[in-house]
Amino acid sequence: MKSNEEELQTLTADTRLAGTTALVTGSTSGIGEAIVRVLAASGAEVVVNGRDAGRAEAVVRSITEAGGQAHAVVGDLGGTASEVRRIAAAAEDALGGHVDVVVNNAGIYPVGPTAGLSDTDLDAVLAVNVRAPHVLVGALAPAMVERGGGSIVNIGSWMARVGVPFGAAYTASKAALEQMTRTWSAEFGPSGVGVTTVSPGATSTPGNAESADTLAAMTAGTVAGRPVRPVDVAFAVRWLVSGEAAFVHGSTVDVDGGIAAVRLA
Amino acid sequence: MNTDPTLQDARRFGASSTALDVVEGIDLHGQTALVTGASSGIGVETARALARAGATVVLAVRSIDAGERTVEEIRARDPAATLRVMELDLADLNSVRRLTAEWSGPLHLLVANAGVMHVPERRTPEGREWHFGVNHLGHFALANGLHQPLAEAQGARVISLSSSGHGASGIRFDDLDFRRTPYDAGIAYGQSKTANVLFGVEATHRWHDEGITAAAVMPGGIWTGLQRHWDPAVLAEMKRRYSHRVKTVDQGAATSVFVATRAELGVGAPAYWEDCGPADVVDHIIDGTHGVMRHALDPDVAQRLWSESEALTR
Repeated sequence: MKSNEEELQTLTADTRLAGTTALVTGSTSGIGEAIVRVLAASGAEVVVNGRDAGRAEAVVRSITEAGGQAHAVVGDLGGTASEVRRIAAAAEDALGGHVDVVVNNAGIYPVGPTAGLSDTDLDAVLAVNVRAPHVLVGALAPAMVERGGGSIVNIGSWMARVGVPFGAAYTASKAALEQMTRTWSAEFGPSGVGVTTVSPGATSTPGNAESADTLAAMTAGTVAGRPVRPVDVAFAVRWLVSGEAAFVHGSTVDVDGGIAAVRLA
Repeated sequence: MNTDPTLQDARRFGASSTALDVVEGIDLHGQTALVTGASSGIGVETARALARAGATVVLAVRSIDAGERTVEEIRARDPAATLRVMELDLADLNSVRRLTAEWSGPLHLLVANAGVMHVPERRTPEGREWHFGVNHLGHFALANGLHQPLAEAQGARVISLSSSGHGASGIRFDDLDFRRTPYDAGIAYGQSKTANVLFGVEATHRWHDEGITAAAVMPGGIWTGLQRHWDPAVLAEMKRRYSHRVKTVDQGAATSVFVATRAELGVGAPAYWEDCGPADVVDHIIDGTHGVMRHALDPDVAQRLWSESEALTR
């Protein structure tokens, strides 16, 4: 099986999302980066968003060099609600006035013993993982409703439905986001907007040998037997925002190697 | 019985000492310290302790706003602290040059504290691999740009934050920037942390005649923003596994402050310190956190790295 990067470098270009515009938050690395690259390879014009201008430009470059269309909108989703609205407006401007797809991917995860989580971290996880998606959707969904179409995909987590030590605030924020999917589907779905959650499992990320061993051990007992690649999550997002998923509303799609649903032994 | 005051000091402090414990009774009035990355984690506690002891502390940080917030936070507990913020982006050699050009007066303590860890593949504007560029070359250029102010201090120290992560890699002279081999964040981080140790070895060798000595420290296992790229479930599991022996940030700053104020440094002195004492030289990192490996101490490699670094920061 190809590595995440090999997969991203050898994407087959197609036109299934031609004419579609997309904002993917937190897309300067990891899962978000894979999503923008996959959507762009299928013809979507994308906004790459993150806190780091250099990293955002690097992702834009990798997309344009592959023949895609991408713009960088730098901004911190942990900032004030007006800062988040500024990001929404900047994305709209960059994309010619309409955002067809919003992927709420940006997230932070200050995990640790509950008593030790700082007030700052607690505020930050709620701001980035819960408040920012709410503000962004509030800013961008009305135009989707007016146009009679669009997609909102929220990136959740397998940990939203399983109790593991040390993750109360983070996993609760992901559970909140998953619930916002269902509510928004009720609110905007009848107007033609698809709202869904993609829920990744333990995902391969940069780290050291020990964290890699832990990740390997954690995923050894899943159906897939290994960590999720960011690009696997991106493929699910691409399907959900294409016309092929027009009958998927409010659902959570688990792309997790089976970690949440299946026990092998 | 050994009556060397430094050794006695050394026995008083250990893994659970905090930076403020270490500066108790130390007077740094009249001295100037520069701490990179001083607006978060261990950097804040290092700046706080040095300021508590009376030093004028310059917080060299990427975001002036974050630096000012740290100043306010330190002054809330230590109203008399003398603190200043300067802008420094270690990924950008022009930013390093701006700071060194602006500097005036002697510099007694340079704490190369800032660092990045396990970042997805990325390069500096000059094309260097991100960890090597930020953690090593940025600090290398900073220390060299401040060489005269350090010499003027007559007894200056340069403390580099390393890590047991240095065990993952020596210096890959044939492919420093991962252009010929696949990128690996753990190895890239390890190479940069080895470079931080070797820098101290060679800096002491070159500059001890001018009273400048240098050493590296391993702060201990501490959870900071550095692990932000890990999978959340992995991070939670590692925290659970190590919950019994993780240091707090003020304990993490203790070894930096210990080496800055109490350790005996110089040619032949230990080049790598942990838990407020010299580390053992080991063949493998012990328990994931302890010991220094030979590849980080080799004087020939240190000299070669210095030459290459000069060429890369010219």
